[in-house]
Amino acid sequence: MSQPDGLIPPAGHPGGRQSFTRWVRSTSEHHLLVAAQAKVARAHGRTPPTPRGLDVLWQKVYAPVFHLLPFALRDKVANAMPGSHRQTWHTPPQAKGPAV
Amino acid sequence: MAKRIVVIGGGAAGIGAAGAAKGTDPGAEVVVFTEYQDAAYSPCGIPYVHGKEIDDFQKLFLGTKQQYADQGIDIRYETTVSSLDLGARTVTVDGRAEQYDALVLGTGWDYAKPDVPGNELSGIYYMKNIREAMEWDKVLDSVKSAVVLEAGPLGMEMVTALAHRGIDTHLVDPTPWALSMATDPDISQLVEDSWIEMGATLHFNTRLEEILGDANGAVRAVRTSEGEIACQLVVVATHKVAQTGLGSAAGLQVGSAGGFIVDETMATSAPGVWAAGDCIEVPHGVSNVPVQGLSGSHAYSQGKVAGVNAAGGSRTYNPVYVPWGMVAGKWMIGGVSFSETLATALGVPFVMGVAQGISRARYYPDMKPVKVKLLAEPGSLRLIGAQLVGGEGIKERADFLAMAVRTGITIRDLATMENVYSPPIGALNEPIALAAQNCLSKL
Repeated sequence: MSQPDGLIPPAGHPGGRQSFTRWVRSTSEHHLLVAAQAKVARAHGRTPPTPRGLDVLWQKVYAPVFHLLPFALRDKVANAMPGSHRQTWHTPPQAKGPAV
Repeated sequence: MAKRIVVIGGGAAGIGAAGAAKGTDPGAEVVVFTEYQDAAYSPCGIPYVHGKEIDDFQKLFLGTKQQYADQGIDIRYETTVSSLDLGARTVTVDGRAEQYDALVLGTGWDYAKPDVPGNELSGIYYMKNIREAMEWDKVLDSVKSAVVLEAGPLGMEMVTALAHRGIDTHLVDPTPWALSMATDPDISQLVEDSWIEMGATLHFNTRLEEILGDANGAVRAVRTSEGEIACQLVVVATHKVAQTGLGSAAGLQVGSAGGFIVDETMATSAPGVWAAGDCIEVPHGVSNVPVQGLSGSHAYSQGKVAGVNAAGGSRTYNPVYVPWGMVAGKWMIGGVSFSETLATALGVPFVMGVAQGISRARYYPDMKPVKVKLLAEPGSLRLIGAQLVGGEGIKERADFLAMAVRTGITIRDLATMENVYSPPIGALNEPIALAAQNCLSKL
């Protein structure tokens, strides 16, 4: 789900013409994941990479601010993005009680 | 007049769609266009031929060309579709328009290409196509040292395969541990240790900066944030990017995960057009966020749904929970849905339980350790994710836990689960139950 730094879609690849919402999502996901990896790495006795350049801003400002936002708001924004989740998807009903 | 169903792509999604369409409407004309020489083989098996566990690429083919012809599926090999006209219901092939009544796109994925100098040198291997893999396999006989870029699923399999083949293998990954987008370091540790035992060198927290070539334009080394690594081969195993160019140029809508937007019938935003596999995105069952780039089994199932509906039948697909698993190093590793890292990244609250169990009775030969880590929603204690690493029984537990997440099973249910006990195949205490009990003990 991440878009690692230093990587772009192949030349001429349609992924190179990504929409603004695609960019918002992939950029946000990448930096949130990097921040979480750093936190979990420390918790498990590993050394995370040192953020450099603009990454410092994403890791030190964006990620903490994101986590301060109410979960309901973050969920609302994620659900407002264009995607398959806004089409019709039925969840199969779960049976209750004994089978016989 | 027979309905004409056109499928673009000869991978798992495309072949699944073609077979399902023919099964639904035997009178339909089903045509598959693929740019490759082959269709319906298992690309997921390629690392195991490179690693010498499988002795012949031919074993990866699922069926012969004649078998598909006998089924009435007309596969046009080495044929590129250059454009779609959704209004006229035609696809352009070799400059001529081919009519369709229903269209299924299974255009798949491609690797994200490293955006560094030297990315056009020879000796950079994007493992995907079986014919190219056959040629690269010959190259591997003379390769002494290789770099694998990124420890995603394919990268992990290739590190294992190359090390198993005796090649001096270096893994370069910008994150702190292997498969860090899906696992936690306490789960990946065993795999990483076994890679080192196999002779591989792991370079985590390391960014690729340049691929260096010799006078002949062939790879001789990579330059990274942590120094230079000499190598004759670079295996690119970056994440999957959906191939949507053909459809999006024709006006099909693409979502925030980068795949075609589809509904539960695999119908796209255009009438008469379905899509399946790695070119689409589907909602995740826990978060409802669309995800893209899943497994071959997902692609095949989605293809069958698309094919049935394109042929006039009725079938639906469900949101996904994404069980996964693989052999990596000397271990099996797997999981489903959320890891501690992913939940932390998205700010999803969780409680957690971890346990180390065993796969058979402790006295039975070849007993293996099995480590289980469970994540659940606080309060309800509904399972939202799991990870496993061990010597055997990982795939079956991952499949079971995926159904547990999907059906809303709780940590309390798992803590009191019944389990098979038979010394050669199962221990007295099920590791999943032990992890759930560990979680409850901390509440």
